[in-house]
Amino acid sequence: MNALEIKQLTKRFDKFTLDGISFALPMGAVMGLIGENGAGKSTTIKLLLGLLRPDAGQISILGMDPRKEELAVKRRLGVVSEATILPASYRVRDAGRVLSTAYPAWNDEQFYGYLHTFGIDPSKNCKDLSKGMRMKLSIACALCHDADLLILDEPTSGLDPIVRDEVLDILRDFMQDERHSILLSSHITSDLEKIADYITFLHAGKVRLSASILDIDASYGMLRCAPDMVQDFAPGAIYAMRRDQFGVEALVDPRRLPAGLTAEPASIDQIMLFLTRHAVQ
Amino acid sequence: MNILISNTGGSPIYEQIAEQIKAMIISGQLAADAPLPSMRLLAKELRVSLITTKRAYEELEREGYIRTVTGKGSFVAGLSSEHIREEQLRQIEESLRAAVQRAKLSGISLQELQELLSLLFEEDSQ
Amino acid sequence: MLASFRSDFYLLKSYLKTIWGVFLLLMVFAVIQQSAYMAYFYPVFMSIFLPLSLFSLSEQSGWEAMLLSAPVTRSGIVRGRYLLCAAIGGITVLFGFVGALAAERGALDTPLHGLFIALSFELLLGAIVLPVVYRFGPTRARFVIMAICIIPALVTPLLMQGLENNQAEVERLLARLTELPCLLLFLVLCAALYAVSMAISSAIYRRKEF
Repeated sequence: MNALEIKQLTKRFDKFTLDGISFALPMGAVMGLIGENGAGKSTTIKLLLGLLRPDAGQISILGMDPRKEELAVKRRLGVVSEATILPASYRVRDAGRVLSTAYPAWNDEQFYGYLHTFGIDPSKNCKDLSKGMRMKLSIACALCHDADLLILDEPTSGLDPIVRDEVLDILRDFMQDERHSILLSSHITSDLEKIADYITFLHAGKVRLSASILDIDASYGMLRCAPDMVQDFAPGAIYAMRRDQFGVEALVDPRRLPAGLTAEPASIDQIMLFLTRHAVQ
Repeated sequence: MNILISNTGGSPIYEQIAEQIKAMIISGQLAADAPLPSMRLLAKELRVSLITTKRAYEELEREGYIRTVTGKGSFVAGLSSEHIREEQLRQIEESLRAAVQRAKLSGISLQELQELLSLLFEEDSQ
Repeated sequence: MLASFRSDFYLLKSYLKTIWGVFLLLMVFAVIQQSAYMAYFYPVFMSIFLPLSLFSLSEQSGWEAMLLSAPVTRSGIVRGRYLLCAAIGGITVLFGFVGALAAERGALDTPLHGLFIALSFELLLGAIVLPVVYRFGPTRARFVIMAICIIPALVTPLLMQGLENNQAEVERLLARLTELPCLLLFLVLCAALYAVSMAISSAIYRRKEF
């Protein structure tokens, strides 16, 4: 069973359309959702959470239709959003109390355990927590009700590398259970490279790429060469190309390069950048 | 168990992991029937994606170095030294094939190649 | 429903001190001025102010979005808020009753009448304000509410003029209307309106997109 399946999901706004996107997240895996600002990542997540209603398409979360079994789905979902700034007037333990009322499977012991590990004082006011602490608190909130799918929307933006590393460790611990899965939307592609099994790349409301990182490693590479060499390449070998003063930098298919040429591994950043800005028509 | 991964170019990470585990099995560092860490634990410790360690283990299982029992984990397969030798020969053949191809492309003769081979053997024993 | 109730309660917690502080101050004035109405004014005013604050606080912090991804129904969230507003309103009015008693130096009549009137108006105002805020959001709702308040402000002078002609009749009518049985009826009516309003707000909230 897939943890998450999206088929032809469409949502129309005045100036933007999420146009028939489809992808699937297998159970027990981590998927990174990438794309430039305005590509549709947040819209997709809002559609998954029921904050927006789709104009067309189907969603299946943990084998259930969230529109028909909304509560059952949400019981097994943990959500962490960059936008969730806990209310200023809340104390840390108040957040726990509200969530314990909202989630039947809430585990208070686990919650206070996380607070202790993160060094968060339960009686502290949320507004007095540092950004990193607030994020870790948000994650703790998402992990204490036996969720099977974690959806994180830009959880580590604005955080220092140390906290980001700690967050990744927490996520890795979550993934030790093979029934757990994560959808992680992030700009910080270096984090994704450390944990993602699959990458879905959204661009202008469409899925530009959705594959496992093993497939991506096999299919994408970077090559620098002289401009005239490019003509000899097989059709389809070059996805994107950028010329500069010193030659050509290209995003290529390493399997289709002429003999003797080897491509360097391409980072997610490079793939994103080249496919967006320098794609070959 | 010590596994070192290099991120900069070279072979894919899953291959590096598989090769290193293979080396440990061949050298005897990992005895037959010894348990291997779960794919998930390995992924966590090495800070790589799960799918990478999964693929590494799949490769090792395919080549007969380990066996995976659902629910129990992965274990080093009881390999005869013959099997190991066979596997090593197979890999050497692959490398030699690539070398031969290159030689033919650049017009290097068989004799030059054999000389090079002798040199390399002697180099190692020094 | 309970999760939403609790959520709103904690949202208000740190402001409760200010709320009670101002309330106590007004009560002291009311007692000094011997005016029972002053004691009831603040609770009724709160029934407009409270919903607006709750909406701003939960929307601003993104906490509302958090609740919406929890296994709670949208109707449940609405019910929780309505319940909290009624509960806080009820408690402040009861304190107002105590204050009014003190203001009237122990006479029961005016404070008791005032209790029913204040409770009714609280429920009535809440029944009007809450759906407006659910529909328009706290920022735009302020304007709508101001507009709604202008109507009585415009109508009352006209009413007064009209009433001047029939003063005796009007006074008799008012006397009948403010007898306890009538007030009780009015209270029940306002409670019913509150419930209807809750249904309307639930319908609005269920269709809302974020």
